[in-house]
Amino acid sequence: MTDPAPQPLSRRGFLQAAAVGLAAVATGLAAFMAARFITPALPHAQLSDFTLDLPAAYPEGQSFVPTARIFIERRGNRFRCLSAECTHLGCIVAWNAPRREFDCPCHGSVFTADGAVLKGPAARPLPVLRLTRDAGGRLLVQRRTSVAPDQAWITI
Amino acid sequence: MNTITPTPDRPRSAYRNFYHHLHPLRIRRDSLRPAATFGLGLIAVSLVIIIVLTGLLLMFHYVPSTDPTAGAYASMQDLRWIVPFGRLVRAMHRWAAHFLVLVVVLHLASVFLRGAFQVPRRTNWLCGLGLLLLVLAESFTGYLLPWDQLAYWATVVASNIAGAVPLLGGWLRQVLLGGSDVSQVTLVRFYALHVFALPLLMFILLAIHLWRVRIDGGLAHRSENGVSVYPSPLGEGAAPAAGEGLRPRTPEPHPPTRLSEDSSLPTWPHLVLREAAIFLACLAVVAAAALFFDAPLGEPANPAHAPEPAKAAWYFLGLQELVSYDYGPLSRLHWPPWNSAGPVLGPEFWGGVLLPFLLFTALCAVPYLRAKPCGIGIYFALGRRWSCIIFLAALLTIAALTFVGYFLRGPNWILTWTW
Ligand code: HEM
Ligand code: FES
Repeated sequence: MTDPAPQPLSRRGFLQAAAVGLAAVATGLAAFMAARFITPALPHAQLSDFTLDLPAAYPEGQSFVPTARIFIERRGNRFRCLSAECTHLGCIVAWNAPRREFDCPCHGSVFTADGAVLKGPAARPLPVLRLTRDAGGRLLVQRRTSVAPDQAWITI
Repeated sequence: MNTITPTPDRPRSAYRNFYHHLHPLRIRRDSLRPAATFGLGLIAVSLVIIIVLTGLLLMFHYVPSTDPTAGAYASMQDLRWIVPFGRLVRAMHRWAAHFLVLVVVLHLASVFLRGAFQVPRRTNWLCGLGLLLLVLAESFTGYLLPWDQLAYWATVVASNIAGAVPLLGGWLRQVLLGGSDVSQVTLVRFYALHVFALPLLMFILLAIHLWRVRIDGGLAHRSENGVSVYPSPLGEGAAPAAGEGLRPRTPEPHPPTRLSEDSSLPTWPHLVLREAAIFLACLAVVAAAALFFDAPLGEPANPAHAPEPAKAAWYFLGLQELVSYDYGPLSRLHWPPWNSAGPVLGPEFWGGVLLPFLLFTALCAVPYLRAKPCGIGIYFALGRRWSCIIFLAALLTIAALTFVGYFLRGPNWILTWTW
């Protein structure tokens, strides 16, 4: 095996390589800029915090809040909040009062009142969302902040 | 200054007619047999033309806005109740699009079963797969535009499937939706894709596809078997011999322009009239379908309430079936696998991302799996019988999944017997 003698780079070869290289860099740059351009600037800006009603407005049991897409559950003076967005592919679950479970209309996932998965295809529990109160005493929910199940209930 | 001397081989029309950019002068008698391809490619082209024309008309009325009284949903109602022929045009656009999905799949099947994906038509097979993706992407983006309940929820579900792609998913979903939820921004993005970006790509790929049919030597034909292929002017390795130029890459001793008198016919009028007939037949079928069946329009989109059951269009129901299964222990794996705090790979990944990806990869690989072409242009050629059987089994599986999704799923996606 003998290595072929290294060929000196001709002027034409150099210019060709340089042109191709520049074109590749320019295309890459343009692709990067385009990718940044179409990426939304404020990812989670909207739809994260919701001011709800005064606690007294919620009856005993589950209430669905359409604007925030959540369920508020009340037991006496204790409240907790579960996301109503199915963790499978995002449909809105419905509360099935007689069976005390959440049913998803899209592919039939079933969750307990605590949000745990009873039946797939959903693979994750419904998130328990942080519930607080604003200065006026109204309930405030942070759509993007979930808490551990044992911190779900707040007492008012 | 007529320097051209017409010959029987190259009649005067050969130099004047635009259609010769697309067609050779003569075409095999065999390729004109209806059963050669069942005209499926031509039917697809006809449907694309109908879709483009009706789509253009729809654009004169459609407003890509979520405004309940002056937006997308309202323009659907206008088309239904006010615009002369609005209902007809909308339904024609809709049904032609549905037919197109079906026809493109059948076209793919015909190409597969005839072994027409083999050398020298590998590139065109890949080009066709690109067209298949574009057709599906067009259907998907178009589905959102009426902004009714099905439109909205199908997009929620599909964007979450996109979100289940490892690594890229989150970004993909954001870019698709223009935010973290389906909104006005999403509608505008889908509209731009549906009426401009995707059609442009489709037009380019379609032009290449049709051009390749010609330079690959016309339709796949049994006479190609056992004949060594001309070196390609444009790839598959070989550089063009001096002076060879864009000679058709036919494995025959004679390029199609020199097909013998008795095995071939002049393209004009024999092929062109058939094309016109196919187009008119498609137009008639689509128009009739549109007259008898109105394109559906559900309740206006309502982000707070998912319909029961929320079904995608029929051609995505197989996919919806796949994402609705419980994948058992697989659904408890994390991404990346060693990070137990990472997101869980649910059925949306296994059925919504991985299986379709594997299926598509397999389709792309098909022409490269066998070293020597076998049974070109022959349906169910013996030498390819196993691949044909596997292919049909896969196709039937998809059809069965679609059937179950369409007919047997009731509220809450529970299996029901509707008869
Ligand atoms: C928008 C979608 C498509 C259109 C409009 C289209 C159109 C056509 C036309 C007009 C032909 C000429 C032969 C015929 O009439 O059957 C053809 C041939 C062909 N198509 Fe397509 N096609 C599409 C999608 C596909 C797909 C999805 C595949 C497969 C992956 C494919 C693979 C091929 C191949 C390999 C040929 C070569 C020749 C032969 O049939 O022998 N095409 N196509
Ligand atoms: S979205 Fe709820 S089960 Fe699929």
